[in-house]
Amino acid sequence: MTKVHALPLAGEPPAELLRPLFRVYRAALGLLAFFFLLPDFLFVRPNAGLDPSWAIAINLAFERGMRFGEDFIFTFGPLGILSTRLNIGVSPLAMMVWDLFLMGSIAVVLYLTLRETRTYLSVFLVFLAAFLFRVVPPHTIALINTLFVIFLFLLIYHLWRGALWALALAVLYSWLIFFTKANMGLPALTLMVVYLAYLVILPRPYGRRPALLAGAGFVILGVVLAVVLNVDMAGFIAGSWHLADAYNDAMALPFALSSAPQEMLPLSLAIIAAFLLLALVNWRTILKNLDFALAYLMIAGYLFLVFKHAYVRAFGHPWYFFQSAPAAIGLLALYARLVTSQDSAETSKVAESTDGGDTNRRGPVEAGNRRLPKSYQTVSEKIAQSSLARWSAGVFLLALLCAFPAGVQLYSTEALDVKVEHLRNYGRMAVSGPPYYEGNPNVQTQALPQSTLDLIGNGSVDVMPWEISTIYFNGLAYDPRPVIQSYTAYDGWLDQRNADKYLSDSAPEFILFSMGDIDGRHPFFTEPRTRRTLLSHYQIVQRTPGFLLLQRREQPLVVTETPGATGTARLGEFIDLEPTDALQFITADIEYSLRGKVERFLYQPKLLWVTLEFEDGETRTYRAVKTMVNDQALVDPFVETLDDAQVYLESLGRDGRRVKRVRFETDLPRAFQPEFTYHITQVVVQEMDAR
Amino acid sequence: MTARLWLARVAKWALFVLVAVMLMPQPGFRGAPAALLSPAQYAVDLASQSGNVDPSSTVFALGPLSRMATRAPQTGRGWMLVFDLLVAAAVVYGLFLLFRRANSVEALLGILAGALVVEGVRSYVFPLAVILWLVMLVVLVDYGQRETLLSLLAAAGLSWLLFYLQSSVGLAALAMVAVVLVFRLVWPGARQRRFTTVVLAAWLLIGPLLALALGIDLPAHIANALRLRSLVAAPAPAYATGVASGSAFLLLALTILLIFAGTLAACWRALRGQPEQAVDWLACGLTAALLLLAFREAFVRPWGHPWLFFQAAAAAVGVLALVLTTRVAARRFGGAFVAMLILSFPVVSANVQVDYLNARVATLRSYAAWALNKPQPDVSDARLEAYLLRPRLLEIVDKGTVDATAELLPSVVASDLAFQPSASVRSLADLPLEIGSSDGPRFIMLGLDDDPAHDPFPAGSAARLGLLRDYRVIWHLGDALLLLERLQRPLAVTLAESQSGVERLGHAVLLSTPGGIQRLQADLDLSLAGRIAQAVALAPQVELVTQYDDGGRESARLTADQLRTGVQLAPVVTDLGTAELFLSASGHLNRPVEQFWLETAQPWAFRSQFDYTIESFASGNTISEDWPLVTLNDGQQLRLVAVQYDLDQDAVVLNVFWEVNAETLAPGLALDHLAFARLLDARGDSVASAALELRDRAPGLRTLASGSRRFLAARLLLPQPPNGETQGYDLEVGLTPAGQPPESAVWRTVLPGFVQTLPSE
Repeated sequence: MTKVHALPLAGEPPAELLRPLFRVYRAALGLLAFFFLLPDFLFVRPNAGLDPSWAIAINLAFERGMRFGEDFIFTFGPLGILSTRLNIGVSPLAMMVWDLFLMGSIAVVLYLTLRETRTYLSVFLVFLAAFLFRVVPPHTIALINTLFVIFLFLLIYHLWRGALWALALAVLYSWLIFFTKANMGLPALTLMVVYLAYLVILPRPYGRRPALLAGAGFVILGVVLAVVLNVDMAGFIAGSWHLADAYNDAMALPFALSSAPQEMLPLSLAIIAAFLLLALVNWRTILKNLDFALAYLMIAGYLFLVFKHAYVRAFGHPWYFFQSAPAAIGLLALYARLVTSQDSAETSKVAESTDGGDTNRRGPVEAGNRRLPKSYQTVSEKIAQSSLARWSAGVFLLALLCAFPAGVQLYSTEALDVKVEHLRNYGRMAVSGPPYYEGNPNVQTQALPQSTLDLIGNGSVDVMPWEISTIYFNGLAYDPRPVIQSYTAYDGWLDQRNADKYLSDSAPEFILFSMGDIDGRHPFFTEPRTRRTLLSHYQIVQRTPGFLLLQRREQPLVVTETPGATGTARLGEFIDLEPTDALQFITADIEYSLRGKVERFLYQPKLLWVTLEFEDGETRTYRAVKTMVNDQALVDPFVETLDDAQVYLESLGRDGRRVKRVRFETDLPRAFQPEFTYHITQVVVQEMDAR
Repeated sequence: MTARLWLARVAKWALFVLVAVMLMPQPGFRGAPAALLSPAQYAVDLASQSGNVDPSSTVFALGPLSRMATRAPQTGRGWMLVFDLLVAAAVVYGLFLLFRRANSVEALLGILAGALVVEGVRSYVFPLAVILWLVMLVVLVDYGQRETLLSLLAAAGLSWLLFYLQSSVGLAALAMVAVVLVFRLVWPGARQRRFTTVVLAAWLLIGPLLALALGIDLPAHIANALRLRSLVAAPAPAYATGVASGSAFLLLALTILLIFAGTLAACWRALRGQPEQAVDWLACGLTAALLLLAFREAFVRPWGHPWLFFQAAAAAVGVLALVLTTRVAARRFGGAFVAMLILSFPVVSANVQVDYLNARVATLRSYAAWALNKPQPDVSDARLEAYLLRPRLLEIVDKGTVDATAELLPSVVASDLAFQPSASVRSLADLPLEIGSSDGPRFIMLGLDDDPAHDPFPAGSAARLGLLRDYRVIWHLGDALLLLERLQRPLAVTLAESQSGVERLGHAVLLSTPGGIQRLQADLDLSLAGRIAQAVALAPQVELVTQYDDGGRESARLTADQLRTGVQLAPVVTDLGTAELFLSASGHLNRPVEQFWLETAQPWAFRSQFDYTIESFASGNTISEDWPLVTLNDGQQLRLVAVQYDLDQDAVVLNVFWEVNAETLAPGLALDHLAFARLLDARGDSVASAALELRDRAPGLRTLASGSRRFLAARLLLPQPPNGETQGYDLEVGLTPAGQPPESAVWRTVLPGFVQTLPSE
């Protein structure tokens, strides 16, 4: 009878006779993984729609040299062009150089990881973890996850080996991530700073100098990149912070409403629970090995970020978690095995003292330049270390087990054929240039009437609420408000940036205005300040079935604000509005309860609703965004359609369907504080002479 | 013993209980008896509960005991409970053997994960067979290693149980037991040869004794299992649907097989040398056999079956990892088990739901309530109602014997008809014709399945000719079925002409006489690669493309074996309408096929050139006298051969086909008669009618010729009554002299949906 251990990462190496076969097998699977991770496209075809529009906007901003953080505020930074992969402002050569760099990084990660594998199973598991990256395209919409996992690998590799090139590359990657997508970049920068501080506080055998040099390089590189990429760092960080923070409130979408398979959430939670259990069971060992503790926290932080990314807005996003969580956990499992084998080898080294031990085991001996606490020398500590490695391996296995269903459709011969076809296309595009400009159907579908084009001429244009592709496909001069799409102006700070732009001298000459919002939100709650400036600074010059063309006024109108009613209300309770011809904005100080805050932080907040009651008694309920109503929201008059908007703009807000009272409510009252204060602001817009 | 060790033991056996509960067979421990079983299972249940039915006519993979697991109608609760107890005892014993060997947390977690995959396949009989198969692997290896009497008894009993539960799996199980017993007899290290000899003899006796006890015709059952060719001989190409529907899982399954093969190769040295390791080889061999058979069971017909492979594969290798005595091999197979577990998990991952435990508890409660004879919520009635036949149809069938194609079998049960199976109608394999025998069923309910392998038309040309010869269509119930009635005087179906030749794949063959009934036999040989593919279950497919004289095309997916046996080339039957035309007018009214060719997406699997023979059949110049015949005043005779209808927006569109005597028909058609159709309400009053003159160039009248035969096709438009949806109407079809009101009808139809024949009087 045999005692069986499923300890794949700490298994025995193959027999001597089979080692060449093992190497071939390892190389084959490594190459296969690399093949699957090759980019599918050199460039992606520009498209119409909400998401394709912001992708186009990033490239247009880059092409036109806009200053990110000032002229352009979005979660993506200037290097977002690497993620959108549009051939707007980016040459094929530049994109190929980037691909070469990224694939080189991936090759290094794969090689160094596979080099540490000792069993057929562990090679296969590494292959699966790499293969799962294809669950979401790793070179486009999930590029940021790809970069972050490489970044984590570099840090962990440096932690283990002390390789300075890994540290230097990690510094570079932290900035690459930051300038690609700031909401992941801010944690990356934080992590880099913490790691460098850790190296300074607990110096490696080679001293503090490398860490200090890396720190200096980190700062210099950041400054240089900010200058080269034309980034206003303060604005970029502040804007990104607002976008990332308020994203929770504005973009949350319950998992039950998503089309994702319902088992995805339980499977994700199982992975997280196992990861937490690993720390709970081995907390003593982890505390004694600070390097491992740091590695664990780094991976934990990443899992938290990617879990939030996946489930705050569950619509189409859960796949992100399964794409990279196994690989991240796999890094920890690899590190745990390396630490364990290293420690046991050093323990044996101490025991054998003079006879040299096994010099064939390359890893531990080469890694012998690291000082170990003496406490590791005891047998019980060795057992604990072994337990840590087993647990880490177990969690990695569980992560693969739970994540593999998300990628199983890719594990087919058809997927292989598709990949080969993609690579052929890549080659063709690299040789003959991107083919997507001629014959792009969006050029036709997004074409503006000639009369509109004549009116606009060479004037600068912005678009509301989001269809930036129209500007691109009609070759207009794009001059956006900083927060480029209305639904992303999640809070007052972001809205104010847009309003400031329209009030400034650099405001666009024209605005293509249409109606629309997402997730069943109130149709006119977003960008209240910005839309108020439309009344005072713009006028309608053309109406088409699909949009209003607004042109900047020669002489702005005068806006007068008057404080209205104030009071306290409860969720579910109507607030009466004063009958008036003025615009009425409400500012409601609705806050989460403690439970609501915890839910919001760890998962997603509960939704808030607003019900409007009109003068004829009809009621309508829409989704309200907490951060927006905390600032101000236009509740009266009610603007829903393009006709309503036309009336609103032409009558300067005086005409339109009037709202009698308004009520805020939620599906789960315990998630919010029951009572809130509010105040109404009445706004009148009028001609200068009328005043 | 320390407290910690006690705690560990308690946890281990608590896990044992949990896994045992998870693996209790379905549906016995999963809730109330399933009322609406799959049609195929109905066939078995019906056959086994009808005392007067010869088991040899029930050709199916499931055996007579499967009705215990499926809670077939009229199966006693006591017997079902006994069956459940036997199954449960086997599962518990197998698990006990595994848990006794599991001495690490990893091993225990591995068992739990393996059990999750095994129990995750939610169905009934097939997964149950796989579970029992796995249990048998455990007990067989245990016997092979330790010569345990209880394990031997369990293995012997299980092998026969499996055989009578699902013959295809059962045959493999019997073979596995035989191998182990022989191994025990010949292996030098065996201690109890005499005992083993006795057991071997006893085991051989158990089967027949069980058959006697259960009233099973053993030779017939064995013959059926062998005829299926499912797992015991070449893969049944008739089952094969190609890999397209299962391609997402095929690569996974192949990876699992590759991992197993690789691990076995890696363990070669470790397992070599000591005689004691022969037992390990035996275990590896049994597991390999199980994997290969499961793969073929799953991928010969990937449509809905691949789950069975994943259910079996990871668990089987997990069992192997636990039972191997060689440490290195055990570790490596443990690793292989982990990889297979990951690869198998997508098959069952959808079961990971928040309410998983609640659902488990609910099914246990439901089973307990059923076992204690408490009243059960009747889950069956509402769903069975959909299968109830219409009263008029029931009147006609009455007590007559009925067979039905697979998807219509629930109607046989729901309507309590006298079921008499005829293998050729239902069988998925291409079996010899039996329905023409004198004791064939009086009625056949014929439906067409989307899958050509399920219905008798695209393949099985012999069965089709048999239907044409012996049956006539008397009802056409929408898209659901044709009701066929056996003819008293069968039609003569004779070979008229034969055409042979050699052709290449993709090249068209022109028919020497287009149209009519044509049968194609083609010796399309497999290449070596094709043979290998077929041997591992992936039967290469060819498309038979037929082209009509107007350029229209149809294609049907076939296998080389089907082509070799012979398939019907013309007429092409694509739906019940074309099937009705074929059976009513011997194919003369179907669109004439002019040419055909064979093409394949797997050219590597076939030799490019093939021999073919095309046989043309004639069904005689006279239609059976069972068809309604009208003799006009001038002696001219017209026989109604088919009525097709369609419901337009506000009208019933009828196509009424009459065969006329070509010799007596004058050149200029003028029969001085009207073809009429009318709708009658429940009181027999006419609510809508239409008539058409039977003369040359009359609007809506067409003359059709096929060889020496002539037909008239009359197109009639009947306005639909306003409340037609809520009230049933009779549709009458007949002929009447011009200028006179319609009198006696020769056909009567109830709208919407079917056509009823009334003999003319």
